[in-house]
Amino acid sequence: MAVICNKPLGPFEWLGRNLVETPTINKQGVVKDKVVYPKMKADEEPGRTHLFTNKLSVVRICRGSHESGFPWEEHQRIWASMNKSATMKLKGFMACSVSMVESSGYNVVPAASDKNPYHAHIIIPNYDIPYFEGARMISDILPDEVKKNLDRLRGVMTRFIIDPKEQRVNPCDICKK
Amino acid sequence: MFSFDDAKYKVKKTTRQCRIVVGGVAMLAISVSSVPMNASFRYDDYPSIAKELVAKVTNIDSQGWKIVLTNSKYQELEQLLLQFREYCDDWDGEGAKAVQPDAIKNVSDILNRLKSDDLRLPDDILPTEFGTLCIEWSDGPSGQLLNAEISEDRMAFYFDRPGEKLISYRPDSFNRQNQDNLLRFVAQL
Repeated sequence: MAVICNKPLGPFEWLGRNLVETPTINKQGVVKDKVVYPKMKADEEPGRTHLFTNKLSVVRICRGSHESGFPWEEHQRIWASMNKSATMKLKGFMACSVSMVESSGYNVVPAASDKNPYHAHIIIPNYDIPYFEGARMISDILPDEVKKNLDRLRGVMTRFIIDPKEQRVNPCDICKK
Repeated sequence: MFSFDDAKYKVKKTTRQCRIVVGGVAMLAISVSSVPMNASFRYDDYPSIAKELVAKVTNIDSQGWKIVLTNSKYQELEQLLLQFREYCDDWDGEGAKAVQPDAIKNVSDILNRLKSDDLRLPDDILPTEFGTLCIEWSDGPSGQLLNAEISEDRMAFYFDRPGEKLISYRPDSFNRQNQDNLLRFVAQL
């Protein structure tokens, strides 16, 4: 079992948003960018369950490196254990450092569990929209100020592939940049 | 052998496609990045771009000279929209709704208007968990950012310019007037 990682995050630690291959998307190894918005669902945090979640899930990338062997194996193993579909595959990450996230005005907090030991949350400040059913657009929920900041965060993220066949970088390469 | 000394390059505003012209005849057109829009220049003016062109030209050298037209940005975006037609429910593996066919049609209509008005095409189109599409024009992390979300019957957009108040159009009907509003800001990019 992986060691649960709830240590405080350092400014130079890298965070990743999963880029996933599904039966529909990212065929032939072409990984497309994804929007970087929180899921449009109710928050699970006690005291906030009446609000839309203000949390963006990320994984702590550099904590997944091994001293030997293929450095992404740990992330791929954990991801596969959480996603039972054999037709889906973790292809890579959209990544940025903690300092980049914090300089954009967000907080990052560890959110690890046995099931997801490198999980962390980017917290969107002042995003307290009461939860409601029936929204049909992101813009029905997200204020443009919030949407704009998240779009700009996506703009500074680095996209990279961890599929063994296509891998060009390992976590240490990212940190060296 | 082709000589760049004889060439002129012209970069088209909407597609960022660079056309090499020799003796008044278009020899080669390729898409390049990071080039000035509407620029017409010679090799010595922009050696770094010319080097990029040289590299691509070299690749087809064994085939001899011929006109090579790569996909335009417009064609790339239309192909992307075609792919979105296959985005059924749960396309992202996280429960996202299928991309709405009419959202695709609406974005295609916007692309056609941009093309016919010779306006800048979006840099990217991204699907959302609601099956809507976000089209985005970006000038980098610190530059202007225009983002529109298009659904089957509504649209919303914002325009962010550094140092200026955010311009925000909340969800409203996908009608000609709101399209015109969006295109008005595209024209300012």
